[in-house]
Amino acid sequence: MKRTWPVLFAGCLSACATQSFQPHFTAPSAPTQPVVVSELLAVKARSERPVVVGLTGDPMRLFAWDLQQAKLLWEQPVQALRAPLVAADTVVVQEAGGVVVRELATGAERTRIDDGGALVGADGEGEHVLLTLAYEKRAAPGAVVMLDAGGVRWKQQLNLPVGVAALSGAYVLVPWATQRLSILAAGSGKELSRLHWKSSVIGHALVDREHLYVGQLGLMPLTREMIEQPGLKLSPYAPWKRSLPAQPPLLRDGYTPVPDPDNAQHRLQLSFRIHREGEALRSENDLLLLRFYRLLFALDANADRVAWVRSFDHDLVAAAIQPGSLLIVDARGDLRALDLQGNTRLKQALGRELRVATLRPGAWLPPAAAGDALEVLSGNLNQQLHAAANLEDDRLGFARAYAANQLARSSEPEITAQLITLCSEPQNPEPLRGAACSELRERTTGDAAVLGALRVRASFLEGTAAAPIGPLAQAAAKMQLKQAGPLLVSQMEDPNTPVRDLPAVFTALQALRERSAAPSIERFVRLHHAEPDGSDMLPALRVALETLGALRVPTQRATLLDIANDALSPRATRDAASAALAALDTPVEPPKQAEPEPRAAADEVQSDPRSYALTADVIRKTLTPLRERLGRCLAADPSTPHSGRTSMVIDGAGNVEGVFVMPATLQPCVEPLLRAAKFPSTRLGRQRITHIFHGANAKEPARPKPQAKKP
Amino acid sequence: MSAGARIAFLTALFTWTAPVQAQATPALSAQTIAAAQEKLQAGSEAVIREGLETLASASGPGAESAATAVVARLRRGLPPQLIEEAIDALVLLHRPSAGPALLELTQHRRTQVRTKAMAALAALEIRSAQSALLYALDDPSGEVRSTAVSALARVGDGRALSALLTAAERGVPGAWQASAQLARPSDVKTFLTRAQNAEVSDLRAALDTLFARTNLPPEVKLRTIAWLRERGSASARTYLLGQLAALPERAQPNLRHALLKAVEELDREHPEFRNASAAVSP
Repeated sequence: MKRTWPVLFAGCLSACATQSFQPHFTAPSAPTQPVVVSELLAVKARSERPVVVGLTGDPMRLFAWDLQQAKLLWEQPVQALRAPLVAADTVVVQEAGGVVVRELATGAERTRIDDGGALVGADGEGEHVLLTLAYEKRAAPGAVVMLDAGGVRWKQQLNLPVGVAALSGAYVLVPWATQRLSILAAGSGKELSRLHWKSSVIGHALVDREHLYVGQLGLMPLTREMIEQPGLKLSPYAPWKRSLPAQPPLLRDGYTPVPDPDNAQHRLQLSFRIHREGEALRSENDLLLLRFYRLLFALDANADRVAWVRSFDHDLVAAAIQPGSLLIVDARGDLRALDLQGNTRLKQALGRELRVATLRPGAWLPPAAAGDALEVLSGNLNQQLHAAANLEDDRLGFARAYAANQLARSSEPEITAQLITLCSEPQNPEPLRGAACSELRERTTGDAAVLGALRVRASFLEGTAAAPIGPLAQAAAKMQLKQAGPLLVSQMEDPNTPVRDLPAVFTALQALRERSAAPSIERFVRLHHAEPDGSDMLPALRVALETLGALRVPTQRATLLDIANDALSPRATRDAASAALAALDTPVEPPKQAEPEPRAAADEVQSDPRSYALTADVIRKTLTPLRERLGRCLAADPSTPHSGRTSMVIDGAGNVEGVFVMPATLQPCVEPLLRAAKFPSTRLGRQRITHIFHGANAKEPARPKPQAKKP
Repeated sequence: MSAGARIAFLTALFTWTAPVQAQATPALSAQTIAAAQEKLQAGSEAVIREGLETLASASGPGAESAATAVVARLRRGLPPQLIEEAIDALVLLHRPSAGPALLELTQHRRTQVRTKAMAALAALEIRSAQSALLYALDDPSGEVRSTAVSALARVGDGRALSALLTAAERGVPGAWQASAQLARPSDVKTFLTRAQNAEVSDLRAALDTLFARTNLPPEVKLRTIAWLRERGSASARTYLLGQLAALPERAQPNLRHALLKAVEELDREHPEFRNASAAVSP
């Protein structure tokens, strides 16, 4: 190659009317040259040694590992300030004493540049190595340096930042000032042509297989058309854009130096490789890899979809994409070749723990797999996502949240149960809980899981935590789970339910048209309507009043009127009460279409002769003999309520442990009656049940509406 | 109200006695009560406060109508500060008719209101409050749980024992003592079994309660002494010695004999306890 340069340069220099590559803002007079274009686009495939180059933990050592031969090439102590790069047959590292270029085969130092430049990029062919450097606080903040066996061949400085440059035959492609690309003569560094794209950011130039690409937010192949018609509006190719945890860029910022060895960017990274077939561009293997510490997501490059996700025991510090194969290196020093389904097909122990590594596989492909995978990625995608969401590692909060978001795309009912658990666990990191709770709110399947979770009552004595009542209430409303109504009322009355969840509970009761909840809501607004401005209860109060109006229970009118006229209540509360009154008094429009039938809970499969829990029917049957006497309690009460509501704690043997009656004036009459009741024994054990009983003065026929829930 | 003031108030509630209050308060005229009731309907917090203060001092026949007025105003809803003052008034009026309103307030969203309502239920000895108080043992607030335990000790019965023992095992202050207060003779064995893992020093108040109860047969106390003897710990010996010292001369000879015997046996088996005790004695 070296011998061909003088001939090429002679031709170029005479034909291209070259200007010196000094920064200026006026375009060269003759930016396109057929010779340059033809030679530039005739990219030859590179022959590169497949290697892993990395930095170990303490003490820090730089090493090179030959992938083909599966052996260590060399290792030596260094004080690296940035991660190493591989260019042609060299390793380039920013060290304390400058940017050091070492022989890839031996580790011997070839050249050192100690002019204060920070390493931005490196590329090379044969014995030529091209470096991009950045300088802080200098008039010329960027430079491109060409090295050969004898040292620095030339150096071009710019008064604008320089991106990651590439070397291709006799030409150097230099991105600069975010939208410009200069083509230099590799032999002299003279600028031959300059391109300016106003529609795209250019931070990287790179050679992959037999193509040249430029870009930053995506990649576009360098074509004759692009060079000859720089005004063309071009869109770079990029895999499907989506929101990802930590939002890593597709390509490292081409204008900033390589990050230091311990920088998290090395472990939170996207990897993709462009593939060109004729004019068509796609991602190699149609995949995009997201590394997030010890999680690896394989993402569909053409859709917002996870193909698979796999966790590792150690953080992943490097990745590379080969046709039909994915290479990864972890911090323990294990190199794996994965197939496109995520199974390990090859594993090499590098024998050292790593801070960071760079994979440059060249054209090397792992040996074709024979037989079973060494490590099998088990389970279907949902199982993999569930496992990822449950990984106990605080650093993974956002990745676990992403897994939960992806998991929620499945409408399988069991996913609802999994989301409930993820949303409930107080020790889960906030991003994960937030994601799971948000997804739970939108569920339309998994009604049994929602009802089951609503039956769980937070108990200090039993050590059970509060269920995520707000999201559960919203899910119940979305599913039109009529059975959830009494459970929501119980949860609303439980001080363990946080005040912030109450608006969702009231809204759900409104959506479920749970008119039996009206007395409880009325009590809530009556007790709390004089909460002062600034109280955290005001949002719940406002929605509770709105719900009372929407439920249209005429007996609540007096309370609403009282609140609307109460001088001790804040203005907003009084206004909400007035609005509720107006809603209560508005004539009901006939429904435009048939209302959806409330969905029944899924049947429970049981093998034990005892019931799992007290069901509505069982409760009804047990309490039916008491109906008349309970009705008499209602009739004897001075306020003659239409109905009463009782919460009871029933032990596993079916004995009544505790009775709580609303209105409270009924307690002395109702409690002795209910205490004498005997329920069937259950497998579930201690349960809290809610039962509504009606008196003879009820407008609708007396009809118990029992619901059971685990205390 | 500050935490200190709240504790002082709760202490006062639990030790309050109606007759003393009744003797100390002059009767209000019907006219004064009617005027105070009128003030409760005002739109000003200050005026309502005045009305509550006046009504709280009612006694005799006027107390019932005063309580009825306060209850009615509570049911209509009041700002949090006034709710607490209304509860204070109901306690001072000492009318059981306040029970249902106070029971309703055990479901209030403010911890202070729930705490105060439960303490008031205990002070008014509202027996039907047991279920609400048992529910409150699961309350997210430790202050409410603790108040519920104290209230159960006062108005609860043996049915509350199981939950109180669980509360005790989970470290709710006063729950061992409340359990000792409510345990029926047949429950004491359960109490001692559940207390097996607790330090005797932590059970001191509960054991004192058991030994002080006059409604427990001597066999139960003898069984408790045997249980302490079986603990075989220095703190058990210290407690037994303390009981022995507190027992009046010639009172309950069986008990004295059992205490002496238990201490002697412990000293024989663990002479180091006596030495350790002697070493720390002046």
